[in-house]
Amino acid sequence: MILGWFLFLFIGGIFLVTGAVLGPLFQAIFYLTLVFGYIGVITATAGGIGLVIARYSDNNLRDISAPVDGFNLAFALAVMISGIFALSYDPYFNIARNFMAYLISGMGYVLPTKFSVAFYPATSIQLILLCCFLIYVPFSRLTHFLGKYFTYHAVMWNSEPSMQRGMYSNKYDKNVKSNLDMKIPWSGSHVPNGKKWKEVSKNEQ
Amino acid sequence: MNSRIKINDFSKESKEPLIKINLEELMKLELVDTEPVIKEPPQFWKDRYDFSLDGHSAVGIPIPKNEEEKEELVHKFIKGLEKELTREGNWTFLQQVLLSLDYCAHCEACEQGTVLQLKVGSSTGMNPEGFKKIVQVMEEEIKEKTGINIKIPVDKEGADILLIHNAGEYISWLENPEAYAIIFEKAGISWTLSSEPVGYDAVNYGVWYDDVQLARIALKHVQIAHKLGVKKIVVGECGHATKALVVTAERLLTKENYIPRESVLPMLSDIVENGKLDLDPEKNRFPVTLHDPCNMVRLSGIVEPQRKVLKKIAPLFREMEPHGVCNYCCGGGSGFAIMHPYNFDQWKNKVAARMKVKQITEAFREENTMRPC
Repeated sequence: MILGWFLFLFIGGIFLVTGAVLGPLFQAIFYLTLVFGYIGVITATAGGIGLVIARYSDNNLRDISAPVDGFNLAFALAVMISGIFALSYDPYFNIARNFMAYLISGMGYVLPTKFSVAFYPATSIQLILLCCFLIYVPFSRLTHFLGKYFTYHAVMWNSEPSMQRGMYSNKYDKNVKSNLDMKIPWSGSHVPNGKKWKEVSKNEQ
Repeated sequence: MNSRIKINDFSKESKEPLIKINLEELMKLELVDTEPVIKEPPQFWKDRYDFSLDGHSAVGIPIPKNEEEKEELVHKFIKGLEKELTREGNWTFLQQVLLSLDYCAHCEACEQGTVLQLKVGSSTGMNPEGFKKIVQVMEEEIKEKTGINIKIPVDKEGADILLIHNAGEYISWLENPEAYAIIFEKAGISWTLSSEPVGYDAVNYGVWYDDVQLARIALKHVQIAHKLGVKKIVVGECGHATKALVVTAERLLTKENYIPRESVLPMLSDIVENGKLDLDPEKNRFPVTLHDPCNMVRLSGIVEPQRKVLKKIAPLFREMEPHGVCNYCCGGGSGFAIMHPYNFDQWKNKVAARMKVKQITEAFREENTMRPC
């Protein structure tokens, strides 16, 4: 829902930049932004609080939680809770939408004074926290939400069969052959030094 | 009562176990009246091998005699891990390893992996002549038990499928390959066994060793199948073999080395569903449940065929709970069911299989009976 809210804010921002704010489409985007935004912020905050309770009330989960896990949760919650405070100043996301227009236009869009972030401390704090969070995410284990696609949704890393309708169609064939051409960086009694994968995997007996 | 263990406790140096397994602290089995007590390992084991985790050992890691040996052990372990983290060393599974390492490192390695299979040809060490004698015994037993004369095809060229069992079945459970011979003959399947070492053993011990050994064994299976001119390899009832040859090898076999491979379970399901056998379910009117082995179900995704067969031929079949991909591990997979090193059996029976006992007894609760796994 939060990602949907961002998307509709972005689209709304484009409308503001182009000035096309009177049509029904803009109205639809406006209301969609409200729906996704409110549901997203409330459920994300509730979920974040639930995660903290789950992780630290269960003995087993608490034992395997590193300090960074707590920090990540606290950081995410701080963004969410500050968002709820910011809502009291921006119930229709007008400030957020105008700021988005400002960003999209490369700071060319002229912010109406009443929608300027600088005048609303709660919104400023929320924005600063959000930007810091977005900078932090790629360097943290929070990116597991991306890894989850490969480890869960793609179901064990692209599992379409190599033989389909009676025809061999492994699209990784070229990659596999290229990898077989690499030298094995280790050796053992059963693997001579400096050999390539394709050389040692043959059965020489 | 064991105190709570923290992650940091694992780095404590002590010969005494970090935790002792107490029967009183384990899950109670309501439908089991008595069970054997838990025995301590003998002192001379504890003096030589590492029992410091929970008083049990499956692999007998020797306790280093001095700091030098300890450093060497640690160094070798880290070197082994390093192999897994480079593209050149682990192109086969690098993506999975790196993605998993962030949160959890599953280690399914078994230090009992051995090159015996490659030097001799199979874990049982049978040469082709020995294998063919075993096949003769199978034919005689089938005739004796059922009155049916079956000539089991061995090294038959041009058959549709090459059936490869776990080599241990020919030594310990001959009735299993015999059963398949009867089923395949009655169903009119064009099939063959191979007498070549590795050709009659589907188990790929290279999975526990390294990717070079894994590749050698998998390629040998394929080479034997190509030599016989079969269209497909069918892997018998060994989850480990199914995982290795059907699933793991799928991405690793190039076009030139490719041959379709399949578990025997979908084939059995086809045979039963299509009425190729004259079966009387009333002969199986007794309580039956199904254990979902990790290798077959979770690792290979084979969930439904075995159920279709049971639902057709066992009128009193019921699932244990949970089942399918949610089933609990029994602790006996990958050969652990028949491995008895040190006091591993005790751990396996008391801990790993505990939930399994509960599931089975509950599946048969109404009949108040207990069946072996």
